[in-house]
Amino acid sequence: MNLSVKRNTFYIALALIALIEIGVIWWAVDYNMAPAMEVTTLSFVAGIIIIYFLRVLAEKTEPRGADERMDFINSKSALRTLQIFWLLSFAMLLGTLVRFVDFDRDLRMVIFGPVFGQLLMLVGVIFLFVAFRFYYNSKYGGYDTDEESD
Amino acid sequence: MEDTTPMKNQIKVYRAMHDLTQEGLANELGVTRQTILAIEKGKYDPSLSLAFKISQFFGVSIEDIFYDAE
Repeated sequence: MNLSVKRNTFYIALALIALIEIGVIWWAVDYNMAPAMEVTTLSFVAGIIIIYFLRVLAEKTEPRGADERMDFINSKSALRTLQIFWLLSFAMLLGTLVRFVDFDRDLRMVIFGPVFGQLLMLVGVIFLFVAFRFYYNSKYGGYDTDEESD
Repeated sequence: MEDTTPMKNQIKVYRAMHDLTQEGLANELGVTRQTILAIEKGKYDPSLSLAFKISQFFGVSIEDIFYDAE
């Protein structure tokens, strides 16, 4: 039997499995009785195994780095996804901070709390991006000098 | 800034002269058929190394295959 899985199919399957895992965890928290924990663990392990096999098939069907156009598409998609993810996350976290965090109670809880921490992490992503830009610029000759640089 | 306009090319003509399908050329060059299709339609500019591979495969210079549309 010759099974083939395209990259896009793999990513969609990955998202669906993640969605199912979230559903199972939701159910387990809501049910809060045996065998909720066992079911959650089993579904998590099953999800990992399914993803592993799908990944192997996807790698066979469309090997990574086999085609320069696909690499170009992947790079563009990744950058655009990061941009949109950053904007959405930042807006959502700001909304959460304003609506649900009680500023009157204890300011330390706000500053060291998870929401503020995630906002700082998002700012960290920008610094990380700039650091990678420096690194790759250096790696690909951006700071090299020659006779015209003097 | 938007991407620059892709270059025009004669791959389809040279492919026809060599009696090759897109799939056949893609296999010879180690890329997918979709990549050959995208280059032929002017939707994707190949890397310099792929452009060299294409011209070497057809035994002509790069300028014989790729040219600026403007």
